[in-house]
Amino acid sequence: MVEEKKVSGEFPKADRLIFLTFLVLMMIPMIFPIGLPIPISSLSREAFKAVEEVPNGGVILIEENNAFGTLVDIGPGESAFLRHAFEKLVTKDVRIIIYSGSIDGNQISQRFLREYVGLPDPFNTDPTYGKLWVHLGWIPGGETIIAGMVTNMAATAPVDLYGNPTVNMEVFKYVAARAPPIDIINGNDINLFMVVHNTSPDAWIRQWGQYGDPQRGFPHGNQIQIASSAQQASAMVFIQAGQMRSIIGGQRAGAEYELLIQRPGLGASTMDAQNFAHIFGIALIIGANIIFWSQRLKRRSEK
Amino acid sequence: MIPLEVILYSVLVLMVWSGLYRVTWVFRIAESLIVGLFLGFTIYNGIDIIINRVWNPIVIKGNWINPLWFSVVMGVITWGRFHRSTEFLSRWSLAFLAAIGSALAVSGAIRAQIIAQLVVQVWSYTDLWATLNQIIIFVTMICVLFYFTFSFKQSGAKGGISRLGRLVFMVQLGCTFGTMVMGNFAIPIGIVYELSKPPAFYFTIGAFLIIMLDIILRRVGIELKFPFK
Amino acid sequence: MEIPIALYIFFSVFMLVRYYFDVGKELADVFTSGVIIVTTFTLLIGAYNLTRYHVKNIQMKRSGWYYGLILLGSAAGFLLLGYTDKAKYLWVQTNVLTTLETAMLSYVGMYMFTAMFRAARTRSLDASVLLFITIILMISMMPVGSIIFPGITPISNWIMQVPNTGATKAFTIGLGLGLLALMVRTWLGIERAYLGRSG
Repeated sequence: MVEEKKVSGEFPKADRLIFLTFLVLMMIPMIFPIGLPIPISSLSREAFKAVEEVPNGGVILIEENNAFGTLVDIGPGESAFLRHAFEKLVTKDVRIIIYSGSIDGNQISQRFLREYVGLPDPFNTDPTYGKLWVHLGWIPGGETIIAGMVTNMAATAPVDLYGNPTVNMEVFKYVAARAPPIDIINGNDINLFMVVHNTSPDAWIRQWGQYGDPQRGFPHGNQIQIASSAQQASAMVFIQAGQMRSIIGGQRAGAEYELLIQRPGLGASTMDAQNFAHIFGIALIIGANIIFWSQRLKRRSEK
Repeated sequence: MIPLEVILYSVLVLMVWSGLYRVTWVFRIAESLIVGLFLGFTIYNGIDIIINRVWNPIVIKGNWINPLWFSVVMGVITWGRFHRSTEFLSRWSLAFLAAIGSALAVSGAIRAQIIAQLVVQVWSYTDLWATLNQIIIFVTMICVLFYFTFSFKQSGAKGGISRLGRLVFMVQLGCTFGTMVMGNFAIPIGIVYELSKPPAFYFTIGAFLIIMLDIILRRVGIELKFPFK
Repeated sequence: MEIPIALYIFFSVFMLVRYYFDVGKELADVFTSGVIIVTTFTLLIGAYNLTRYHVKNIQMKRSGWYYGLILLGSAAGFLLLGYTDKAKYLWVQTNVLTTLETAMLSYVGMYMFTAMFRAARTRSLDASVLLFITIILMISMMPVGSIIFPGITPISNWIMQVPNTGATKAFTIGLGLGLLALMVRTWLGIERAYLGRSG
């Protein structure tokens, strides 16, 4: 490749052309939607099945560790999961405990609960708050908190989002009584674990991977993670080892989950653009290599 | 009347994306704004935690004899790092944080990351394909471990195993890269989704026109000067 | 220097004993919830450091000091809004902060394309294998990939579930052993990076 003269604060011309082509290509399916099909993968079906299999009166623990920047990537899966889980609140008398490991996750989860699940603001005006579900707010501390939530939840989260003590809440008492010790909430009281994150899956595997749903054939690892598509590759080893049930990785998996709950949203509407973007990316790789090898062969033949 | 939210969204995104064309004061303002807002956000939420978890239980509820004092003392001494004479105190709280974090990580790691990974999941005498796959998984795992072990010289047979490990490592990198691109595409796609709908679309057209104007002006030798760099 | 190491040994051994022998639950809970409060204090240290840096820049009128004014002004304004008008605070957070963060991340994501164009070269066998697998995975990740190439899904599933799993198992084991080794090294006082520069 011929090196261009570098101007401070400017990308090379080829790069700017690539950005412009990408942006124009993405706009085409947005303005003229095509509606290409979205096949549903086994991982998304497994995640859906995991929620469907939560028994009557079961408990779902949700950690929101998302960031604003990855909202568009992970958001579709997260919003679809929350809608699905809260449907079970009504149809199967399920209990839900939500907390956030990141500041952003705290705000994102509250926004999604208002916009997609339709809960009132503030949440404690909802009659089921405190009885069937609770939001514990942001709890900083990383892996220590992940561990604390499954060893003694009330000690790790003594207050909820609004500063009310959790130990006397109806939902906490119900969950604590499900498995011994009956006055402490630990991992044995939880049927399904879900975490939304944009990092690697290891911390939750280490701390939650030992808890599961033995009666339903998951002696450990009844855990779903909603993460970026890049985490699918590293999550496979944990899924194979039975430490995790499934992963909803990225925008496509989010779109698939939206279709499974029959509520297509942002994920499903952007799949046409994803198709175009991938084709463009593959074309860039192949095109760049064709140029590279043709120049190399030309240099060799000149010698 | 265009909603303020749409105007703000379009203007802010286009300010940041102007950096893809040229890094100017427009981009730098957006950059400073995000750092500033995040700073305020962090301070607000940090103070909120301290009020909810320390001030309310101890002062408001009057539980003065409280194990929370241990955490408060540990937290306050981290601020000792700002003076030479008290710097040593901040290391005590760092040691506490590191200890709790690593103990929890190690206790989970031994079971989940070492023992569980060495267990063969499926060993079937009827499903030969599944068994073959397990053998391949085991062999590739050993090869990659060989590649990353630098305690011995990687020559001869060990070198061959290490070479195979490197190729398998390339397969893993390819898988990670291939799946990662979707995440990297998703974010700009989500933004383009918003910018391609009216009224935000009009701002997008405006931005393109400004860039075209800049290209034309620079072609004819006119450079727009601003007081800020 | 020995006190922090002694503290590290005490707290880490205590938590390990609590995990394996199930003793000292109440004290372990105090320590675990203590991490939350200490982490918050350290976050505030970071905020203070950033503020101090930019205040110095403004005082000494270093290059680009006016951007520091925008930074500190927006931080102060946002903080004030949080304590005076919560609704407007949430509005700014949703419409300004979220937007800027998403835009910044997408800006960084655009580098993916330049990487594909400039760095993705089949210079050697290793690079060729990497790119070949990348293309297969990209085709399978595309929603229409399995429709254009029907055989791509079983191939990519096999690649993800077999060789990729083998390599990831090796990393995972290495990571676990590394954590263990790091803890032992810290106990022996060999590893002191966590204590900062003067550690």
